[in-house]
Amino acid sequence: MGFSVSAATAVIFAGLFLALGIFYPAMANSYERVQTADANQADRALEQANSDIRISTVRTTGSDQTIDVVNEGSTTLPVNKTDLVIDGAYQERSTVATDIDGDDTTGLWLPGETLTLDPDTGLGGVDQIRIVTEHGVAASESI
Amino acid sequence: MASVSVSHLIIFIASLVVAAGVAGTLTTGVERVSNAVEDGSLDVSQQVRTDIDIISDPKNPALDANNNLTIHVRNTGSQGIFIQPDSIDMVVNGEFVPNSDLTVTDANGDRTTARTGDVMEITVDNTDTEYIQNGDNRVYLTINSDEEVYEFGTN
Repeated sequence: MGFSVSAATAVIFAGLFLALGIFYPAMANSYERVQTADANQADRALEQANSDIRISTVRTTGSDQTIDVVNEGSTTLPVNKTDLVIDGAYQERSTVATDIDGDDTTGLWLPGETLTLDPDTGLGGVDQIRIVTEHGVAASESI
Repeated sequence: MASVSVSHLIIFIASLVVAAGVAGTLTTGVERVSNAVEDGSLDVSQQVRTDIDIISDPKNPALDANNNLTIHVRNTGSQGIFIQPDSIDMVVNGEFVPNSDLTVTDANGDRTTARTGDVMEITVDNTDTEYIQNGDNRVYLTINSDEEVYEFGTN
């Protein structure tokens, strides 16, 4: 009788250890996964708060119909992921030529630099433009 | 004397069987819960990573002659979004838009997944059901639990 109780207790404890062994890695992995996603979101929120753009000049006449946008924030923005909406119509990225202070090879739009957008459709008779860049940071201008 | 040993043996075996049953049930239950927690954490982390932004101009909504609405949505999160109507839940002026009335494409190519910085073009077919009304309109867009509202007026 005495040995039966000990043996049964040993089996139940072994089961408990096994259960804990299964449960702990699952919990640790899950917590870490959500924690990483949270940290990533916090990083994005910080970068978004640090990003700012301003439309400085819009040239709607002549042969040089372009828009100058200044990076007024403190983050580097991607040139090829900047979107232009003219009078509500989205301009495909392949139809908008871009250059940074005259350099059309760079993909980095650094703080303080001016991005010039040259849409293929031109800007004659345009009423409203909207520019959206990384993190959804946007600037609108009525002409 | 022999009968005592036999009864002890029977009790011993019975206690082991019961203990093994309890331990087995416990580990099975814990394993199930662990799997569910892992799945749940995957969902939660993907929801946290998903972030979208409507880049269409509220002042100039893109409406065609039949009032079909086109909006452009940019993926500003770090989670890829499949470019298909199944990924998107949309309510226009309180009316749910079924997948059959939605057309979703890549605005800058023909990719099937919108990665960070990519733009999706979503068109709402207004011909069968009139979602768009004169005056103020409100589009409520949900992608993987991330919600965005696009409000605009028609002239």
